[in-house]
Amino acid sequence: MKQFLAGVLLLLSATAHAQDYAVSGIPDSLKKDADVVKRQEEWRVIIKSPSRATIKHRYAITVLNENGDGFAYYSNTYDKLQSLQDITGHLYDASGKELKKVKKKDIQDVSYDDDMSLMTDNRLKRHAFYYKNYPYTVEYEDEQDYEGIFFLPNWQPVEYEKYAVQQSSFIVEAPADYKLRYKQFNYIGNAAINAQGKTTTYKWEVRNQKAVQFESFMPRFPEVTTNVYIAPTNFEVGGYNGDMGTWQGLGTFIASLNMNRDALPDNIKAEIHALVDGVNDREEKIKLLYNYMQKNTRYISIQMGIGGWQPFDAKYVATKRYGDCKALSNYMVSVLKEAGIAANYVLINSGKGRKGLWEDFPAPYFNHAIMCVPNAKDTLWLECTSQTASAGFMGSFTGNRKALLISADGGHVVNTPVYTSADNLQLRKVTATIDDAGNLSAEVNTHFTGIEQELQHAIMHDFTEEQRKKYLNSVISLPTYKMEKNEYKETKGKLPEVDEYLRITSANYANITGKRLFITPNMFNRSDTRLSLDKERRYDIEYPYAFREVDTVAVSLQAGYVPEAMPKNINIKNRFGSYSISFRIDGNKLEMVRVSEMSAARYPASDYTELANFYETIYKADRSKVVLVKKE
Amino acid sequence: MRKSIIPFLLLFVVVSGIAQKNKVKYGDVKAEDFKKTVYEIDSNANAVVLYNYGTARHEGNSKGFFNVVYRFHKRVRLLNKNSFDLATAYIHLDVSNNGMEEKIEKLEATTYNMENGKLVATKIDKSSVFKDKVSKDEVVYKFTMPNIKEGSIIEYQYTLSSPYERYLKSWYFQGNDPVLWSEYDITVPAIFNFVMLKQGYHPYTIDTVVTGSELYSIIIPGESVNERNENYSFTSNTYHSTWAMKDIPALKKESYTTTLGNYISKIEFQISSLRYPEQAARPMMRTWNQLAGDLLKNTYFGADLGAKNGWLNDDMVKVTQAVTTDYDKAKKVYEFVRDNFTCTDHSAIYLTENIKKAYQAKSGNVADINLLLTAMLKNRGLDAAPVLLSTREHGKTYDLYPLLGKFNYVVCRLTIDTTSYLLDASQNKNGFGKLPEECYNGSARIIATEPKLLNLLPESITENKLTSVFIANESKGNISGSFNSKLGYYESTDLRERLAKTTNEEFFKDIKKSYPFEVEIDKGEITELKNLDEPAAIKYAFKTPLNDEDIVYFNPLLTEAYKTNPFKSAQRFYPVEMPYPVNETYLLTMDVPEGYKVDELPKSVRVNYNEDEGKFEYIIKNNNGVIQMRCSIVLNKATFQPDEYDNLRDFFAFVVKKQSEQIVFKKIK
Repeated sequence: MKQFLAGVLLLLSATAHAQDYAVSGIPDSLKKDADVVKRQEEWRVIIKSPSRATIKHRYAITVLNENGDGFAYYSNTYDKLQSLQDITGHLYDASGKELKKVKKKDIQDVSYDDDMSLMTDNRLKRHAFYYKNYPYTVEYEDEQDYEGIFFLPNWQPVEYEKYAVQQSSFIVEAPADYKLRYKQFNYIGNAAINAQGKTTTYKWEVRNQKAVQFESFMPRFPEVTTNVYIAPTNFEVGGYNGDMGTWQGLGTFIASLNMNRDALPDNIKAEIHALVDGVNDREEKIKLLYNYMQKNTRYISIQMGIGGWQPFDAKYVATKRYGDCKALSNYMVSVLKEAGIAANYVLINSGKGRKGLWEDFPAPYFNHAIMCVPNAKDTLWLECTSQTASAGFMGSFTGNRKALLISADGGHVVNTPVYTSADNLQLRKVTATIDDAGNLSAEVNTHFTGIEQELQHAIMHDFTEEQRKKYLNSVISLPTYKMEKNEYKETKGKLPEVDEYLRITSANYANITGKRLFITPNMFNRSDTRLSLDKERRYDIEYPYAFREVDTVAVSLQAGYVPEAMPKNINIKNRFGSYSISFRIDGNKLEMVRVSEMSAARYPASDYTELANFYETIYKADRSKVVLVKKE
Repeated sequence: MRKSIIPFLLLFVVVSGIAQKNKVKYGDVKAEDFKKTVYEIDSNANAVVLYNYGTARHEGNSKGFFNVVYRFHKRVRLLNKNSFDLATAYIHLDVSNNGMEEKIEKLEATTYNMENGKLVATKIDKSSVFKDKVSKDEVVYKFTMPNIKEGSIIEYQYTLSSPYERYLKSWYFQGNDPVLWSEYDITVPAIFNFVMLKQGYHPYTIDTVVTGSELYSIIIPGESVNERNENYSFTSNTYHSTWAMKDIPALKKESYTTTLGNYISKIEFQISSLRYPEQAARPMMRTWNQLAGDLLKNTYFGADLGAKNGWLNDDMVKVTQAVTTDYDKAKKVYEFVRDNFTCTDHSAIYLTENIKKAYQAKSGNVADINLLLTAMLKNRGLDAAPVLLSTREHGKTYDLYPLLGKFNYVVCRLTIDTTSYLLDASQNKNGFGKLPEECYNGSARIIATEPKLLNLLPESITENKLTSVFIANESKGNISGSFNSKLGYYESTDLRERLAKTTNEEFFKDIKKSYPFEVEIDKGEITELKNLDEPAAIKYAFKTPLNDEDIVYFNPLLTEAYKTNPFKSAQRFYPVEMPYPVNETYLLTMDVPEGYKVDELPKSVRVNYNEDEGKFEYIIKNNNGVIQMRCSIVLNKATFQPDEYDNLRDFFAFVVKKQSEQIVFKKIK
């Protein structure tokens, strides 16, 4: 009898232990290199029908030091289609003792400003305990109801660097006939699937995931940690039905949202015909109309309800002369259609360094719309939210990735243009003189192409003359200098080119100490990258961007100096690319040629030391000094 | 029946000439307005504000008093696409006063374009105006103009009705774009007397006050359903003021400026008295004595400071139990608040609720935290008082008028015997008796029965830094030595903040990287890192190989040289405002490396900045194989007028040049 009681007690303490957030319960291995430890987490995605779901989320995080405070703040968004209610939360001290609860009036409810849109129907609820005695633990729980399913949450238990996870699980409950699709990354094994009666349950779980630290040139974070993406097959949202089991199906759904949104007012039709009737060359026609669109519209984002995916129609853009990426792309497709040119709306995941989509897992990855005029080997891509972009150039924002082209028969995965080191050029020629006092006067001519011209394009178009001056007078790493003159010339094209001319003077550029003159001939292109070799490399190296740069510098010196020390010439070729720099003195002329080229590729972690050494060599060589002595 | 409650008011004198009205009618845009593509005022402008006009007048309301009704009208020429952001407007309304919110009415917005030689006007439609309730206290109306092109003229006007009758909105004549005409026109019934605060360098074209009279109607609502509303109508004398400026250049941002807000041309208002009919004027703007008295009674400020606050006893006894002197007690209390409470808003002068609530929440704004600190110090029987100030970013205060709106920060002054300490427990890396540099912005005010002025000048906090380096011939074939730098107090705070986010190990790795040559760093140590009351010091040993080179070039300043001029821009329009004066000294003692001799040494030099306002010294000599060097930069002031800018820039250019010079060692053969 006595023993039985003891057993009951044991059981009771075991259940109590499930809520125990004493910091002593965290293994040391998880505290190492961590600012926060997620103690436990449960996602429960309860799918009720193709249009309705409830998402329950509960988690507890122990914050070890002040760097982790941000993770202790709660925030979540909601809108007309996704409600947010039942937020509860608790604060615990290091021993696991409860200190405080969330009170309803402490939850802030504010409109969600995405920094880009004029108006959205998104709102944000947030809360914070602002506790400061480390370590401490917060626990939050909330619930969202989905009216319509298009996106489902994905699970990434390790949310950031220096973030360890003790336990986290992701559970999806769906009707037995619901065709749930999922894709796992860095997950050992497979989901535990349990089909019981009318409901099928999927469960993923991880325990004891150690904190990681970011590394230079690492692959995107979601690719190196556990991630599970889920997506519906048949779905319903905003009164529209769709099937995203295939790209074709997802494309059909988007096409249905865009249907009958291409009617243009008569005055616009007339303007289109006045512009291109009589022009025979098809590409010329497209460029004229693209230019017309750029001149007559601007980007304004308004995202409300299904409007997050459905464009305002072409008539709206024609009368207001503004729209977001969807509205402007749909408008441009309509304009081309009026001129007898078939074009397609394209959804894409935009942003520098982003990936497009996983072709084997159709889902709405997209944050942007563009369009294209297909042509067997020479498709023309158009970015409709810029008033200055070149027709056909995608650049670092939308180039080099997979996208979803929408046509009457559904969606097709397509590739946007890739830009190689032959496309992204920076060719610079510097002619300079250095006087007796060490003052520099330099003429700098640079030819930029492809992605290398993006910054110069922005300087040309987005800056006033005054801002430009200010900018140019702050970016060059000369100690004290003055930009005397600047000129830019752009040649538009599928591979845009910018020619930049700068005239710069820099007082005391060369250091004079007594009879010696110290000159750093590489004035304008010094690599700043230095990679640490202290820790063992963990992840692959992903070098994101290919380019080629050639710098030729010729400096005229005052007569009477002879070289005392010349830097070594360097010439390296390896798997990452190549680098060479050479110095020469001929009479009173000092010459330098620097060539550097990198290709975009992925390398195993074991190549890291070589890459670090390569960069270190470049870093030093770029700062090489020539020492001259005055002839006695 | 009309009932005049104000039979007679004083006669006022016209202060200056009659205003010449430059009235522009809404919608009156003509084809010739499009002719110009470049405006003389600024040939680089993206946009030019053609006309900016506002009026404010009091109107009787149905709540028994007045509303202020504003009418705003703005017309802008958009010259190129970089100005298109101006085509989106945001109107912020205060809705915190339940039932008496600010409201807008009669919003009109039109875009004008020349299309095929014809003037085309496009009006905004209602559905394109969005109302966004950003928080429970604020609503924002947003709209963007239709049919925008390069060269468009946009125009909008609206009426804004505000229940805050003792408050008049400020007017900014100057902005990010040049303005051709800007005018503010207010009519105030003689009941209200406002003080005007003008600021800026641009002259007024119109600056007049005219007296007149107007009829006001007020409805006083019945107190119950059965009671009828009462209507009052009366004629009151009025002051009608007009201010206008023309051709106002754009305001441009520059580095080392505390805030452009100190230079913008604007006019602000502060209620100074209420004068009801047949009553003596009731001053609303108090003297500092009255204001301090009121603040000390205000439940959102000092009311709790007068009480004993016995609920603090237990904790305060615990916090101070180990110490006996007043100074130590104060320090313990200060550290307790600083280390256990989180400041969520560094701009506030009122408590969120009360001191006890802040204590329970363990968080609050800067007023919550430092008033709580004050209460705790008083609870221990110490002499403590709150101090109001305005941070640098918030702008200067007026010495002349006690205007609370000009203040945004609260600290605490503690007095022990005859020594005073200023305390700020809202910054978690701040030491006892120190204030953040942001607080050194001129006049502050001690809130006590005797509200004294406290002048917090940047000049009162010189940043002293002393670095000493010893290099001795210990290991052959190397230059090796020790580095020891005692930082200034604010640099120490920055270092503490940096080290809260990274490790010492990472920090010394960064030092290693900052060397102009290859070094090994060893025995890295930071002293007084945790003792926030003292400046921190960085110490380490370093070693660099000579590699048996025939000639060695060596910069004796190691990592401490100014590599670039902090003043890059060629021109300056506003004063340079540095956070504090500086006094930096670098000392080096170095044995000439064994097997080498000095071939060349930089020349010693001494330069004064504006006679005694600053100096730069670079003194170096070789005493029988031991190099001794002293390099110091002293600037005795923190504020430099635009006409001093070239000197300041040249001074630093000289420093950069001199500090880049090298010692040349040659191998003895």
